[in-house]
Amino acid sequence: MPVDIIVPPLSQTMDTLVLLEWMKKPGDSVEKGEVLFTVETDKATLDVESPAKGTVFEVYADPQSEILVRSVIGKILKPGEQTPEETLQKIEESQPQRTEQDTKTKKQGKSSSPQKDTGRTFISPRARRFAAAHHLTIQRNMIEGSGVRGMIVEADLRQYIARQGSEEEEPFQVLPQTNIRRIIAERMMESHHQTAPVTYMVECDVSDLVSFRNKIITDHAADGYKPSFTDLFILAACRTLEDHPNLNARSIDEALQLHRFVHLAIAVDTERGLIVPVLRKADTLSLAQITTNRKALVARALNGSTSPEELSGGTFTISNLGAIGIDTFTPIINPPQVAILALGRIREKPAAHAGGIALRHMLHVGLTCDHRFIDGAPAARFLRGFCDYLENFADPAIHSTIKI
Amino acid sequence: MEKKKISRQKYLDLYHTLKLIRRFETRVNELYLQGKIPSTLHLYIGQEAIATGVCAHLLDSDYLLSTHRPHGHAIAKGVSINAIMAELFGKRTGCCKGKGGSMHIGDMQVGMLPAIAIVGGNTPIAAGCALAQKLDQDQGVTVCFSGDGAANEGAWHESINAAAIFDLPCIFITENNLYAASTPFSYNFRVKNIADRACAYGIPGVVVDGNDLMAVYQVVEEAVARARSGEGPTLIECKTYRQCGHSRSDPRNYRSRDEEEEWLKKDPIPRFQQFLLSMKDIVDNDLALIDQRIEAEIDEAITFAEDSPEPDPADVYTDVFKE
Amino acid sequence: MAELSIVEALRQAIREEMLRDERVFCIGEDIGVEGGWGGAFTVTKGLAEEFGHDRIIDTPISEIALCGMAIGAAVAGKRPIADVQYGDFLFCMMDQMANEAPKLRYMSGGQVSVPMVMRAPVGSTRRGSQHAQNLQAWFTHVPGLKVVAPSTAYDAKGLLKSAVRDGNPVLFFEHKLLYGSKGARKEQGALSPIGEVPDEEYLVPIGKGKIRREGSHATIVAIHRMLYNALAAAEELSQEGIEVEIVDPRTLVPLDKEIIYNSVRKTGRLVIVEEDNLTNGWGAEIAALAADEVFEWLDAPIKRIASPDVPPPFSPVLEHEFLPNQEKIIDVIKEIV
Repeated sequence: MPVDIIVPPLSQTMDTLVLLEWMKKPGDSVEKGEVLFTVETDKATLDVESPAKGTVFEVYADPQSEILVRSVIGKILKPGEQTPEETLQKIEESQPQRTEQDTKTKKQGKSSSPQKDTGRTFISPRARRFAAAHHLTIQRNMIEGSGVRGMIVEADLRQYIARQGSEEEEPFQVLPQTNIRRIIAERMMESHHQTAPVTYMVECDVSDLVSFRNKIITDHAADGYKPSFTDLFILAACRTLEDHPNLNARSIDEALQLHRFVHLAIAVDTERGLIVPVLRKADTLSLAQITTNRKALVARALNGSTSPEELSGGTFTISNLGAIGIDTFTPIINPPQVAILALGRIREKPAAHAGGIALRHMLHVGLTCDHRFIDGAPAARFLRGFCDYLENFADPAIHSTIKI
Repeated sequence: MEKKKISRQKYLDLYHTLKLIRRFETRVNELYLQGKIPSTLHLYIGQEAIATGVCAHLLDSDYLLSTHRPHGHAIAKGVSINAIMAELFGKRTGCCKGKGGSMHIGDMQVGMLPAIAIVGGNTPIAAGCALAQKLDQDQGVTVCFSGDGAANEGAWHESINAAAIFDLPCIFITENNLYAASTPFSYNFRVKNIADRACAYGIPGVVVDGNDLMAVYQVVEEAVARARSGEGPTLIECKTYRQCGHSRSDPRNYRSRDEEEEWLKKDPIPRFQQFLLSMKDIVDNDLALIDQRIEAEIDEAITFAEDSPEPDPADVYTDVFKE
Repeated sequence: MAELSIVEALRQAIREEMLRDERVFCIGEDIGVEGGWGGAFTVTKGLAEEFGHDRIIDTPISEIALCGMAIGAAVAGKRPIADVQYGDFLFCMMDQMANEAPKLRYMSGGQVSVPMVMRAPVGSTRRGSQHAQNLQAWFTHVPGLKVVAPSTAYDAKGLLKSAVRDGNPVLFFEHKLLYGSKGARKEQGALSPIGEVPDEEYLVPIGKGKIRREGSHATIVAIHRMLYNALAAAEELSQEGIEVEIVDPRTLVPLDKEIIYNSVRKTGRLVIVEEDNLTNGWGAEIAALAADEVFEWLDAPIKRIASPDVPPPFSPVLEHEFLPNQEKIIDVIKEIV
C-alpha cells in the first residue's frame, strides 16, 4: 500500500496551512525524514519530512495553495511496490484490444492520446484543483478524459461524481468524507478487525457518590467549583487501575506494554466527529485538576484546536453518554489500548437498600476489554472494583483520599 | 547688421567657457584611464570654440539638441559641471540621476534636452522644439548640433527641409571634424562643404573656421537674429578637428600623424588667448587666474561626484511614464 | 446621444481636445490640404478650415521629421496628435518611435515628458503587403510607449481624448475597415460599426478592457476587426449551446491583465484572435501571462488564432485564406470545449 503524505497539524489555531513548495516531485526517491515539502502557518515557515522511504508517486496539492490539516496530499510508493497504474496495466495487457472506432467524436487531435501512449494520466490544472477540493484521488482508467488530447477536464470529474450517486436512489444530500470521518472510519475498522472485544456490564448504586458530589458543590459555593460526574469517574478509574495494571496498557504487536501512569483518553462528541483527547498522568491529578484539565481538553476538541500530542498515548478510555440519556452500550476498543469504559445515565430507580426498597441513584457501567490480552475474569474483577469504588462514597476513608 | 559690442567681462567669460571645456575633457579622460568612470567617453577636445561661440547667444529658454559628444555643448549651455561629472560617475546626483550617462547629458532648466546618441536622431526633434517656439511666437530659438556623419542621415535631410518650409527658428550647426567615426569626409561627400547643401533646402548656408571662436561667434549672432525675427533656419558648417579618437577606445590609425600635427597648430585655445591678449585691458594674469579657478572648479566637481551616493536600485523602475 | 461612426467619433475627439486645450495640434501628411481629403481616412476633414494651418499642419512625405517634430514639440510643451497615415509607415519613423520618444524621459532622469499621440491605421484592405499590416507587436515591446487599440466609436472617442491628456507617448491603432467612412472613402469589405456616443464629455481610461459578451465555456481576447469576427462566431456557437466570453482589452500597453485573468478563472479556456502574424504577436504575451498567472484554472491549452507568418497577400481569395475568420474561430473553440 502506498504511504499517504499527510498534512501535519502544525498550527495550534488553524486547520489549513499554505503549501509553499514541494522539495520532491513525482518520480523522485525520498528517504524517511527527508524534507518533502514546506508549509506556512500563521506563525512560521516549516519543513515537513517524508513519512517513509520510497518514491514520490503522486502529489495533489499545488504550491502556494491552501491545504487542510490531516488531509492526504500525496502518496509515496514503498521500495519494490508497484503503482496502481502498473498493476492495472498488467491486467489490461492480458485483455483483448478494444477498437478505436467509437472514439472519433471530434475533428482534430483527439485520436492521438498521450494518455494511452505514455501510460500517464493527463489531468488539466483546473481538474486537479477540482479533484483536490473534492478529495478525489484519480487513478488511471478511472475516468475517460474528454479534453484536448485526451486530458481529463473538470467536466469529466463532475460527471464522474454525479454518476457515483445516480446508481442507487438519488441522494438527498451528499456529505463528502471529511478527514476526521476518514480517520475515524479507518480506526474503527482497524479495531474491528484486529481486536477481540468482549463487553461486561454492571449496575451500581451511586447514591452516595451523588451526595458526595453535592456536598463538594455546596462547600464550594463561594468559588463555584463543580466537579462533573465524568471527573469522578476518571478519579475512580485511576484508583481502580492501580490494582488492575494490565488494563492500563498499550499493545505493541503481540506484547502488552504496561504503563506506570494513567493517560486517560476521554471521548468527546464534536460537530466534526468523535475526538478522543488524552488527559496525561490523570492518576497524579487532584480532583480539581482533573476538572480543569478535562474542561480544557474538551474545549480544544470542540473548537478544533487539539494538538497531535493530545490525541496520542492514551492507556485507557472513558466514554460517558449518560448526559444524552442512555443506559448501556458496548464501547469499541481504542487500539492500541486494551480496555474502554462506558458510562450511562444516573437515574433514580427503586432498588434494594437497607433491607427495604428505596429510590436510589442507579448507574450502568460497561467495560469492553480486548480478550487477546485481558480474559473475562480479570476484566470482570476490574469492573467490580470500579463499581465498588463508586458505591462506597459514604465511607469517609474514601473521602480523605480524594484531594480537591 | 549692427554688432553688439562685447564687454571685457564677456570676453573673459568666453575664455572661461572655452578653457573649462578643454580642461574638463582632459581631466575626465585621466579619470577614465584611472578606471573611475564606468562608461566610454566621446571627447570634445579641439572643438571647444564652436560650443562656446554658439551658446554665447542662447538664453536658458532656448533649446539645444546635442549628440553622443555632448560635454562641450552642455558646459557652454550652462549645465553644472558637478551634475555632469556625477552623471559620468553614474551617481544619483547626476543631471540625469545616473540613468543617461555620458551620451545623454541634459538639463532642461538651461534648455538642453538629453543628448541624442542616434546620429541624426536629434535633428527632427530640434525642428519640433522650434515648431513649438514658432507656434508660441516667443522668439525662442533651437540649436541643433550634429557632425559631418549626420549630414548623410535621412533624418537630417527631412528635418532641415521641414524647418525650411515652415520657417522654423532652428539653427543647424554642423561640426565638420573631417571624420564620421573613422570614415573620412572626402569619402562620404562629393561636395566640398556640407553647407553647400543648404541651397537644396532653400536656406542660407555658411562655412566658418570652427577653431576661430570670434568667427563662430559672429556668424551665429547673425543666424540667431534671423531666427528670432522669424526669418527661418540657417545651416552653419564649422570646420574643425577632433584632437582625440572618436571614442576612448579608438587608436586613430585611420588618420595620419601629420594631419593631426597640422591641426594642433590651429588649436582654438592659443588662438583665442592671443586675441584676448592683443586687447589693452586683458593681461596674462587675468587668464592665469581663470585657469586656476577652472582647476578648482573641476576639483570640486570630482569631489562632488566621488562623494555622491549611488542610485537606489529601485530607481530602475521610475521615470518611464509621467504619472 | 448620437450615433457615430468611428471616423466621426475620432474627429469629434480631436476637435473637442483642440478647443479645450490650445496646446493641442495635429501634424501629418495630407491632413489639412485645402481641397484635399482631411487625412487619408478623412478623420481630420474640416478641421483645417476651423482651426487654421498652424494647428492642422501638413508635412512633406518625411515620416522621420513628422515623428521627430511631434516629439520635439511635445517636449517643448505642446500636445501634438500626429498621423502616420498607414501603420506600415511606422517603420519609416522607427528610430524616433523606439529610440527617442519612449526613452527621453527615462534617459533624462525624468526631466522631460513627451505628451504626444501617434495615430496609425492598420489592417488588411487589398492594397498589398506594405499597406496591410498589423504591427502592434513591434511596439508593445517598447518600454515607455503606451499602445491603444479601440474597436468601437464610443471607445475611439474616449480613448483618443485620454491619449491626448495622458502626458506620455501613445501609439493609437485604428482599423481601416472599422472607420465607417461614408462616400468616396468607403472601403470594400468594411464594417460600419455605428455606435452610440454620449453628447456630454466622457473619457475611456487607458489600461482598462471591457467584456463585450459574457459566457462560461471559453474566453476570447480580440481587438479591431477580429473582435467583430469573434462576436459573429459567438452567435453561431451559441446555437449549439457553447457560450463564449469575449474580452476587448482596448489597450495593449498597459494591458488590463485582471479582466483577462478573471475571465479565464471563470471559463477555464483562453483563445486569442489577432489579425497580425502568429509568431511573437501580442497574443503570445497574453498566452504567456495566462499560463503563468492562471495556470491552475485552465482546462485546455491556450490557443492563438492569427494570420500565418507570411506578408499579407493581395488577391481576395488569398486574403480570405490569410485572415482569421468566423469559421476558424468556431473550429478552434469546438476543439477545446
